[in-house]
Amino acid sequence: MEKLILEVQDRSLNQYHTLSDFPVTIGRAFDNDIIISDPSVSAHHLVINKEADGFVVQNLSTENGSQINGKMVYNQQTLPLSIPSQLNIATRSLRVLNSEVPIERTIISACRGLFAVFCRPWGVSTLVLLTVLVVLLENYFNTEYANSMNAYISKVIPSIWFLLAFALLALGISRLVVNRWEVGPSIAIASLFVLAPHVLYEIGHWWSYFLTSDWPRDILLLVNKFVVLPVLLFFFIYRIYNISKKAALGLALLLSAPLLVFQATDIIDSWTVEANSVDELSFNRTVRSWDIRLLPTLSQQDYMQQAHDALADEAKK
Amino acid sequence: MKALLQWVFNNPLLGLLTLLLLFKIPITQASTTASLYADVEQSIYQVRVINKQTGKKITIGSGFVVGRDDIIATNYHVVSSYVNDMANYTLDYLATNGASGQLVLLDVDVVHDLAVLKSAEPLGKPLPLGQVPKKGSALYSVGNPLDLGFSIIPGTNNGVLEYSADHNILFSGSLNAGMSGGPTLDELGQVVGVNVATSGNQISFLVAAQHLGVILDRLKLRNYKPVEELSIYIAHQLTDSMKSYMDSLLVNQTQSKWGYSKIGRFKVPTEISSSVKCWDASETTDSDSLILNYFTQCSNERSIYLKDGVEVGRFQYQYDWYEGDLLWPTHFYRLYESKNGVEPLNAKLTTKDVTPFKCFTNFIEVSGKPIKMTICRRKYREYEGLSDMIINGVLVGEKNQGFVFNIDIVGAEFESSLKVVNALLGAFEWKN
Repeated sequence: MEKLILEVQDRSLNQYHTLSDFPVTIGRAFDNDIIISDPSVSAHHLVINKEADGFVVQNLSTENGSQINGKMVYNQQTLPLSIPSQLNIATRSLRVLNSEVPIERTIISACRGLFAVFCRPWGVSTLVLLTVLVVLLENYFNTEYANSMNAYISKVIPSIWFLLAFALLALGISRLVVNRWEVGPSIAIASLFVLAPHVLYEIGHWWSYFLTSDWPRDILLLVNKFVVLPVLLFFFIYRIYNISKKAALGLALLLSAPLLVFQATDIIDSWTVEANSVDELSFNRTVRSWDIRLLPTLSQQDYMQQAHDALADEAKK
Repeated sequence: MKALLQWVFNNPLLGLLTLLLLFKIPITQASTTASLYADVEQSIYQVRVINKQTGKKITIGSGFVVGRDDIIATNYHVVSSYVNDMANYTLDYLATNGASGQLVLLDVDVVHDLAVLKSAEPLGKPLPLGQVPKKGSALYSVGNPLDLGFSIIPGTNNGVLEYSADHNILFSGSLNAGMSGGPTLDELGQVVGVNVATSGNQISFLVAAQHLGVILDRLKLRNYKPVEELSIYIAHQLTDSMKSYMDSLLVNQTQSKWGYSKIGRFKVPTEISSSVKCWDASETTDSDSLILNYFTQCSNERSIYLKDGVEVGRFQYQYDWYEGDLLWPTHFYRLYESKNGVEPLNAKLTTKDVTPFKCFTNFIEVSGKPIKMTICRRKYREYEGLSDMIINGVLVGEKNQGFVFNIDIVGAEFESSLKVVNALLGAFEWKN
């Protein structure tokens, strides 16, 4: 006896039915062989039958009709059914497959190795604690006037609020898309998003002082504005949704697009202001408590000679 | 000091700068004042810059006949909008009897804010130039304040300001916008100064008449021909003046006339000339600030009028000492770095006036301590050889102590300014 598999597609989990007793009726009424409780599906919507020269399909729905391999049918016409086939009844998608269709590989949980830090409770808790500590320190280091402990803590609250809001958003999307509550990874990605600017600022600053030049700081500032969010989203989507790298990259770019466009507008605005300002002094002003740098300390005479050469030559042009 | 005396109609803000009530004229002086005014009335004019398109005046000042019957003297700042845009503006005069006519610019002294103009027809009796009388003598200033009509205002001579870089005369009388370029006379009717600026409440300034004499002498030598290539001529006047000022500072050092102060652990030069005044602007120590700051600022407080809103000649330096003994070095350096800001020099300059700043940064050893030092320079596009310079030095390598110095030179002559910067740095001393 030849068997068919009917796949009823559902966003979170597809349903599979083995078809062996023909004819098979599909619809919303309880006297059907396969019941699909979608309100757009007719009571008796479709019949799949086996005839001498192969399988046939007949549309019974005059309401929303059926789409058989892309062709819309509203009458009770019987059509030959090739295997595999795509059937759309009303808004629901079905596939008729051969019972010998190969099974896809098992997806192994991504929460292992280094990545465990971003999904196991201990890893995520450590990450969140680290983030809060860094934000607290950053705020303290920028404090000029002595303040009470409460004041320092209150300055951290907005960052924690933002972290939670971002985590909730990621969590909701993961529930919708893969039908799972990915709590750990959602909090982890939100933490990383809050942590990244501080880490990049510190690294950029250190390099800028080391090289006595603004470019490392400026590049990391651009990285923070344009790269951090898409990269974080890419890894999140790629590891959690189990989709191809290309699709994950596309989704990540799509989701971060509004922010990227906003940042681009912002940066173009500031370039415009700079271009028209005559008071812009573009020299490196970083100072670090560790005086580690590439440039040696010059004698006054050497410095003055070099400064003279650098600035006076330009004057002759 | 508000160095603007013309009454600007299209800019009410500027006009309001020097709006003061006229002072009551003492009765005892009335007879002298009246006869003096009658003597000079025929020699006093209003000088105006006229927009060619509309035929209306955009700035007014006063002027007087001097040297020859067709020559009028006024302030440079009265005619500067004409100098900066000769295609769109012309100069003319308005007499006390209502007559008017065209004027031609012959010569300027930007440093002393003087301009000399010529009329096609005779204008009146030239006023004689005189010496500055002794302190306390009565002086009479003449001009057309706020375009209200020609007026004479008595006041007192308080002598030449020897300590200032300008060497102007301090006139204790009320000068007002529109009187710029008018003469101030002694009791004999001789011009001892030209009205130039006011600082309110009877603090007014006059350019000593001897500077006008210099211009008249050189005009006579070249047969009253107008100056050619005015912007180069002006640039030379400014750079020469700045160069000699800077050289005088170096001479003061060789003559051990520099004053020093201790700012934190650095002993630094402060009063390096009688023209330089220093002020303390430290934050009060009882504030909640986590870092302690001592701040001293020195300036020659000079402003040479170049054009509307643009003044040059300022030489200013400031020293900041920071201490944060109780702070982690990371915390201290965050705050220390945020304190190192540089203020804009001339808000009204645009990219058409000056090039972008070019900077040179490196580390330099000063009195055994490493300092991150930057010298920046931008050039004035129209005035060759004239630059603005900003110098910034930041002490590095100490855990909880910081020292920042800034030097601003507006309208600098590069070579001589660099020498002064070098001398200032060389005079720093670290004290344990």
